[in-house]
Amino acid sequence: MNAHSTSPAFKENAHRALHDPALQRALGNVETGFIGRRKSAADKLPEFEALRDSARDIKNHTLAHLDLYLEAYEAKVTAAGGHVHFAPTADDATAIVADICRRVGAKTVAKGKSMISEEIELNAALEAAGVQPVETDLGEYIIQLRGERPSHIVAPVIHLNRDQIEADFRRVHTKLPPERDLSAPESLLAEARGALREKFLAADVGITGANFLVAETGTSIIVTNEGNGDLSQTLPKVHIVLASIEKLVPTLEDASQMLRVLARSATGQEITVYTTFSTGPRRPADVDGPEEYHVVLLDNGRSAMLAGEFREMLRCIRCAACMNHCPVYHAVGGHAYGWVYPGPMGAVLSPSLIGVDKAGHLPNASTFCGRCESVCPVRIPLPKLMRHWREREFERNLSPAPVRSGLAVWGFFARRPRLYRFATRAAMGALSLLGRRKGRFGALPLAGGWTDTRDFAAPEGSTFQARWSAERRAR
Amino acid sequence: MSAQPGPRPRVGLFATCLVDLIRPSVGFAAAKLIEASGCDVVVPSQTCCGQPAFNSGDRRTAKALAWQAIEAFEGVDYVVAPSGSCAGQLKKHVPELFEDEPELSRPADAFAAKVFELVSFLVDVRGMKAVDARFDGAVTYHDSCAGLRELGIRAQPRALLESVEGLTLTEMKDSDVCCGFGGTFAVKYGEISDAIVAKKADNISAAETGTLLAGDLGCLMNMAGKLQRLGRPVKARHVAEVLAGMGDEPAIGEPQGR
Amino acid sequence: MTPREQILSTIRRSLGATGAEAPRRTIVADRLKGHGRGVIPARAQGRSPEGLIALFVEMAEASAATVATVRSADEAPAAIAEFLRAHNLPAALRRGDDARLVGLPWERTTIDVSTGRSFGDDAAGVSAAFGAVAETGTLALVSGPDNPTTLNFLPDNHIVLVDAADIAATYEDLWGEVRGAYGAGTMPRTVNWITGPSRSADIEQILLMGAHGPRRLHIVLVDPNAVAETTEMDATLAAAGSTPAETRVGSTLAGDPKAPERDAPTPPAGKPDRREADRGHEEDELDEALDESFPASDPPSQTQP
Repeated sequence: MNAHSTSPAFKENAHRALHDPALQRALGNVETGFIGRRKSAADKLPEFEALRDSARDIKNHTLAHLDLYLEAYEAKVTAAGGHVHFAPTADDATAIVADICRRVGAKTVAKGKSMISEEIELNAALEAAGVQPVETDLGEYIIQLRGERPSHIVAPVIHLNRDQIEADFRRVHTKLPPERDLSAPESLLAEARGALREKFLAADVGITGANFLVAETGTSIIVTNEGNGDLSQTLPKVHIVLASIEKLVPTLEDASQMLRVLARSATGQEITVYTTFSTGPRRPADVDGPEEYHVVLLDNGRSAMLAGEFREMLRCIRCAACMNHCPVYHAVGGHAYGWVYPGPMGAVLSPSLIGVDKAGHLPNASTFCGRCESVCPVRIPLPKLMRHWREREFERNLSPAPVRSGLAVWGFFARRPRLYRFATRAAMGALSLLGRRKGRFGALPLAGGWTDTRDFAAPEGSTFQARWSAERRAR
Repeated sequence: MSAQPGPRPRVGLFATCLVDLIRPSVGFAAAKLIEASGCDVVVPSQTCCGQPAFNSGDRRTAKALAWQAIEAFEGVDYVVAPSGSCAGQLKKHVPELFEDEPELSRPADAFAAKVFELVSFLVDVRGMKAVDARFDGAVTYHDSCAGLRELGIRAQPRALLESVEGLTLTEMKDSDVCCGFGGTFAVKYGEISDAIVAKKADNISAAETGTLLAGDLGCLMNMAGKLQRLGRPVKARHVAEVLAGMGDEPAIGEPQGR
Repeated sequence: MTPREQILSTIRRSLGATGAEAPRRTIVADRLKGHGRGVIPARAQGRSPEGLIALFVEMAEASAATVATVRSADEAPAAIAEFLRAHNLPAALRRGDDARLVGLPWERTTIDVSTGRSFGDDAAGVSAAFGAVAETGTLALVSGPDNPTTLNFLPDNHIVLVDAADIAATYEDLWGEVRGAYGAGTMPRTVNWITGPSRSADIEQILLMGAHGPRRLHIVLVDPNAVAETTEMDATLAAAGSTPAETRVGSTLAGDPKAPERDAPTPPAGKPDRREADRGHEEDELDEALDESFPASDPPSQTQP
C-alpha cells in the first residue's frame, strides 16, 4: 500500500494550523478537558502507578511470546466458531474484508471506531468494492461526512467546533426541516443518533476494532461510551474484528489490568460505559448476535518492529494521553502530523509504518519536554524513541542540512576547548558590543526561526570561563 | 546556611555553554551558592554537555563531548550545573551513550552519579534550608521540563525562594508545561515554538509578577525574548541570581547598567 | 508460505525464537492456565457484603446510573413501573426469557411485557445481570438464548435487575464467576460490562448522554437485607431535616433532570420550548431525542422501601 501521508509537509501543515482561528479555538478543548480529568482519575486510584507498571509488564511479556499467544488465540477463536485471517500488509487486510463483504452480498457496513481501519484505508477499499461503509461513532461519522481523517485517536473531531458540525449536518441531512434548531450540541447528537439508527438496522456487516485480544479465550474487547460498537457488532449478520497483532494479552485478568489504566488515561473515566467481550458468532440457541465472526489480524510492519529498539512502541494501547499532554499537539492539532497517528505516539509509530523518509519531521517536532512519557499508561519512553529516529535520520543523512551544518560547526569548536574559549571570548565580546544598547537583538542571521517572533538576549560581555579565571587569578 | 563538618567537598561547576557565553553572572551566582553550602568550587575547562548533538541524533559528537566532560571533571567530588537540562544530559543520558561499552560505561556511570543540578544539589545534597538573600517583589517560577521530569526538581527551588527576604512567589497557571524552547526545536520549528511560548507568556503575565524565574537559561532566554517582543513588563532571571542575592543586576535581555 | 506462516516467522525472526522452545511454551501455557492477578485496587478489597453493595451503588450512581433497591425480586415489577411512570414512559417493556424475569409478578402492574430480542422500537427493556463489579459500579450481562444483547443497547431506557449476592468485588472476581458458569477458557458470545448510560463527548468535549445506546440506565438491586439499612437511612435523613425518601424518589424521577457537565439544565430563556420548536420532525426518534435534550444523570434515586 502506498500510504497517503502529508507528513513530509509537516511544517507547512503546522503553519496552516497555527493560522486557522477555528482550529485554534477547538484545540483549546484538548487542554481544558483531558488533562484535568486524567489527573483526577489517577489521583482517585492509589494503585494507579503500580497498575502502569503492571500494564507495561503484561505487554512486554506478551510481545516476547507473541508468536505463541497468537497461536493460542487463533485456536480459541476457531474453537468458538470464528475465523482468523492473517494479513501481512494493509492491502491483504482490505482484500480479506472486501472478500467477506462480497461473499455475503453486503451493501452497507456499519463500522465502530477503529484506527486500524484508518491505517489501512479500509473505507476507500470498501467503496471500490461497491460496499458502502458507514462510520457510527459520532466523531467518526462527522469525519466521514467531511471526507477527513480523525485528528485525534480517541476524539476524532477535536479539531472542530459545533457550528462547523452543524453546517455539515445541514448539508447532508437534507430530508430534515431546514428551520430546525441545531444550536445546542444535544440536538446535533440527537440528529446523528436518529440518522445512524436506520443504518445500524440495515447494515449487512459490522466491523469493529479491538482494544485487546485475549489469548486465553479467543475474545476481542472493545471499549466505547456511545454503544455504537455494540450495535455494529450485534445487529448485522457478520461481525468482522479488525485488529493488529500487538493487541494480544494473555488472560482475562491481564485484560482487566489493562482496562484499569486505559479509560483513566484516555478520558479520565474509571471505566468506559461499555466494555464488550466478544467470542465467536452467536451460539445455536441465541436470539440475536452475528451469525459469522471473523478476526483480521494485521501485521503491516509490526512483526519487524519487534526486532529492534522500537519494540517498546508496540505496548501502546492508543489512549491518546501522550497527545493530550503534548504542547506541540496543542499548538498544531492532529492533522498537521500528516498521517493516521498524531502526537508523540504517532511521531514514533508513523516512521515505523510508513518509513522515516516520509515521516521524518515527526520525531523532530518535539521539544522533548517529556510530559508524554510521564503520563503513558504503559510507560513507553517516547522521547527516547523519537531520539532513536533522529539517530537513524542522522545516520542516513536525512536531517535538515542547516541543522547538520550548524551542529557540525558547533561540534567542531566544542570538541576543541582551547579554540572554543578563544573563539567564544572574541565572539561574545563582539556580540555584546553590538547588543549593548538594548541588551538584546531583534534579528540575528541564521536564527530567523527564533528572532522572527522573539528577541534574543545579548551576551553580557566576556565569557564566564574568561571572567572566572581572571577574577580567581586576581584573588 | 549549612556548614557541615569534615573537609569541604570539591565541586566542579559545569557552567553550561549558554551561561558561559550569554550570562556569566549565573555562573558566579551558582559558585557563590555552592560555596555558601560549604564546598570549594573549581571551574575546569569546559564547552558543551553534548545535548544538542545527542538530541539531533548525532551520537558520535555527543559521546565525544560527554567523554571530554568526564575527563575534565575527574577528581572533583561533585559536578554541579545551573541547568536541569544540561544536568539531565550528564546524569541521565551520558550513561546511555556508553552502556554498550564495558570499559567506558564504568567511568561514565561514576561521573553521572556525581552530577547534580544546582538547586537540587543545594537542598538535597547539602541540606540547605535557607539562603541569605533579599529580593523585593513578587516572582513567578517556571518549572523547566528536564529538571522537573528527569530530575524531579519542583519543591527545592520553591523552598529556597521562600527564605528570600521580601520575595513573594505567585504560581502561574501551567508552570509545569513546556515553554517551547526545546533546544534546536526553537529554531527548526520556530513557528510552533513561538505558539507555545506565546501561551506561556500569557500565563506569566496573568500571574502579575514583575519577575519570572526558572532554573534553565535556555528556557529563560526563550520566555524573556517573547515577553520583550510583546512588550510585557516582566523581567526574567535565573533562580540562582535571586538566591545568591544578585537579583539587582540587569535582567536577561536588558541593557547592561552603567 | 501462507500469510499466517509469514507473520509468525517474521515475529520469530525478530524475537530470535523458533516457537518450538519448550521453556517458552511452558511459560505461555502456565500463564494461560494460571489466571494470575496483578494489582488489585484496595477500594474493593476486604469489604463486608454490605460494604460491597454500598460501593457498587456509589460507583454506579457516579456513572450516572440510577439505582432502586428492593427486598425481593417480587417487588421489582412495581419498582420498574414506578421508574417508567416517573419518566412519563409508556407502561411497556421488552424482556428476554431469563428465569429471573419470567417468574416475576408482572401482573401486579399495568406494564405490557413483551419478550424477545429488540428490533429498535422499544422504549424500555429489562435484563437480568449475570453479575456486577463493585469496584466501578459495573454491570455484567451475558448473551444467551434468554438474554438478548440487543436489549442492552436498542431501547432508550435500560433496566437491569441485579441480585446483591452477585456483586463481585473486582473484575478478577467476576471472571472467577464466569469461569464457574461456562468453564475455564470458554466464554458466551458476549459479555457486556455496562457502567452508566450511553454518552459521547465528541462535540467540543461536552459530555452528552444517550449517544447510541440507552440514555437511562436504571438498576433494580435485589437485596433482602436492605430493609434495616433503608429505615436507618430514612431516620438519619429525617433527623437531618431532609425531605423524606419517598418524596425524593418521586421528585427526582419525574423532575427536571440535570446534565452532569453542562451548566444549563433548562433551555435558555427566550427560546421556544424545544418540544414546540421541533414538532413536525419525520422521525419519532428525533422528536423523542430532542424532548430529552438534557437527559443525563438523574440525581441518584433513593432506596425504595
